[in-house]
Amino acid sequence: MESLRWRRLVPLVVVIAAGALGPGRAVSGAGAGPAWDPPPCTEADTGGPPGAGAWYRLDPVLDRAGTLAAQRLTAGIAGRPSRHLDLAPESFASGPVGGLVLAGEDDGSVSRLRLLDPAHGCATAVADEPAVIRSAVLDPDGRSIVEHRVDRATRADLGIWRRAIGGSAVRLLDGLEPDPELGPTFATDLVVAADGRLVVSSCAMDACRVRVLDPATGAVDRFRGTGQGLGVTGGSVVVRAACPGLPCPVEAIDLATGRRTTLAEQAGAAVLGGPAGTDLVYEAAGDRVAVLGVATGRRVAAQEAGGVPLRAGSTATAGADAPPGRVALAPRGRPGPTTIRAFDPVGGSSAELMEASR
Amino acid sequence: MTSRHSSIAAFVLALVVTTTGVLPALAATPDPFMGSPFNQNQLLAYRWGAGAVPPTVIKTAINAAADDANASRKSKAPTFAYDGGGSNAISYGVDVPCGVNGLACFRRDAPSWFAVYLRENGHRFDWGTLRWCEATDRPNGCYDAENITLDELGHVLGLDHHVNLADDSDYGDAVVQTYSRTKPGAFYNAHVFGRCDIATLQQVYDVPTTSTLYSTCLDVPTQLSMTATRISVVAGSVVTFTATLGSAGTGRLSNNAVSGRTVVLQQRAGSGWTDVLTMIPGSTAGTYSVGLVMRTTSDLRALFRKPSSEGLRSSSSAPITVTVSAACTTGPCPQFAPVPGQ
Repeated sequence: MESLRWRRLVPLVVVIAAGALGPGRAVSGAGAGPAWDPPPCTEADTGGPPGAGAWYRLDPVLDRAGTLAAQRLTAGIAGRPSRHLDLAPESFASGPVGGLVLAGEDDGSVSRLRLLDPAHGCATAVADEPAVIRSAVLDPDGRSIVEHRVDRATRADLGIWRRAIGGSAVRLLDGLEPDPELGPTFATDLVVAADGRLVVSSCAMDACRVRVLDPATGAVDRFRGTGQGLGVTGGSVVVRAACPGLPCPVEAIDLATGRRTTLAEQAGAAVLGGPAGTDLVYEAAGDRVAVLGVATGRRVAAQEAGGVPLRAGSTATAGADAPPGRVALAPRGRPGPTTIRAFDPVGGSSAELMEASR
Repeated sequence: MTSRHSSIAAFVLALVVTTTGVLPALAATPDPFMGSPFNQNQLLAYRWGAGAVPPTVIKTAINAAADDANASRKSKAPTFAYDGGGSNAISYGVDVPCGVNGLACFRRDAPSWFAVYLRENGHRFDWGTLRWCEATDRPNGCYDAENITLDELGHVLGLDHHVNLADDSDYGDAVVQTYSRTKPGAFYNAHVFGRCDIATLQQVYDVPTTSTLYSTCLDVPTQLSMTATRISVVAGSVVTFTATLGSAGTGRLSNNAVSGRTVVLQQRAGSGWTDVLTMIPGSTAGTYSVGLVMRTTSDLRALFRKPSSEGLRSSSSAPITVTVSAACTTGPCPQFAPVPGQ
């Protein structure tokens, strides 16, 4: 049924998409597949099996002058043809969590959030918000969304909010005032750990202010002058150093003392993952993947694994739903229908995601 | 990435902390250096990234930035040139692999390759919409793509962010900045490396010629020696003095001949020294010579005064005493041997 519905939709959507883009050019996203205008999910859709192997990537679509005209969201299930939809220039995607990709776009007057279900080919509208939702992530339990907002007129930081699916939103953290030393905030990234702790990275051009919120206690730890936060595990938040480019060190900061320890001196793409979310999986020299246990120091030597880790977080431009305990990899961090691999940080092996998801 | 990076990673980390921490520099200092260097004068040919070709106006800005880097490096740092078959890529707008923040970024694995990425015009940040000046009608708030690319090329060469004074009054000393300014901020469109960018390039890659000025962001010691053709002469004889000026810094800036400067011959006068003559550049790099008709016994030395136009320190040679005896009027007259080694 799903595939039939896809096929019926395709011709019309292709025409609409082509017209909407005008002279624009999709400058990347090879294998983006046909256009997608997902209908609302029904009970039948949501009652189906979870979309193991779901993935997405977000690529800019430029007009002939090289100006951003849209953001192309390509999504699919590993091993199956993908589809794409073009979002407004101010848009984002994150996840997938439980097979769902959270997509947000702002049309200049309202920000809209949708949960896209690549497996069932449908979408669920989640919110219309007058403020600009810059990015958001689904909680690991899939019951709420954590979002970052800025003021529509002034772009002032309005803080971090939690929105219950189908419910109202409450503010978790206040917005930050501009930092005169670091400069204006360029991006705010959100990472939710498996235990519910939230890492917020408010990043200026080169350095960030990182806050770690424990919703259970309301405690907030603050750090300044780091790079982007990758996650929190045990008593440490894992961050990049403030670097102008890659490779770049990854550090652990002790939440209690602020003491910094370098975990990896030269890391490309990096993510916190593994069975308990305690392993730093990172791109080492030569497009190889290495593992370091943040607390244990356990190492898996760098090896060729068919890709580099896909970054987690609300501002990631690609993601894949790897099986529990695994980390999704893709060549150059850009996934496609048949190029995603699931990496086992414990054993150091990897397999095609479609195989690993069966 | 290579293992070469790891040996200096701790140093780089310390610098990064410094650049982003709260401790301001007390005086203008050379940019920190990060990673491994490329080779001296290495040609770094770049092409446009596959599927990520910049629009024409941005191509022009990037190529101009490459020319800016080449013209203002004042060192043996690598040069950049567009070549459709180049092994390095500069990409625009697509698959930017760096952090979520920033207008542009780079990857490098010296001396093998580099890549630079520029965000697309219209990219949305928390603060608003990115406008490249070159891609728009240059509204206030736009970023100059040529300046930003020059900053990235500086990173490619190994420059880390300049450590500014607390009041940012030395912002113009470097293009490679922690955060770049928008129009109409001062230096938003700087198109040459600043003196503290150049300082590090000279430290790491060396000066290109013996007459190249050392960046005023440096404070390189010099060493000056002098010889004389005779140290014992009769009055009226001509003695030729030859001074040799060299750099006495560390690494690349040690033992370089230093030519084209002003070196003077001085004579002791009471408790001080008085300029006698300006020495003339010799045929050998770093040498300066002058002939002096000797009338009386004198202590002489060569002096290089610290110029205001470059970052070299003063130095003087050890004094040479030339003994002058009365002219011989009745034979047989004594023979005067040359100074050993002359």
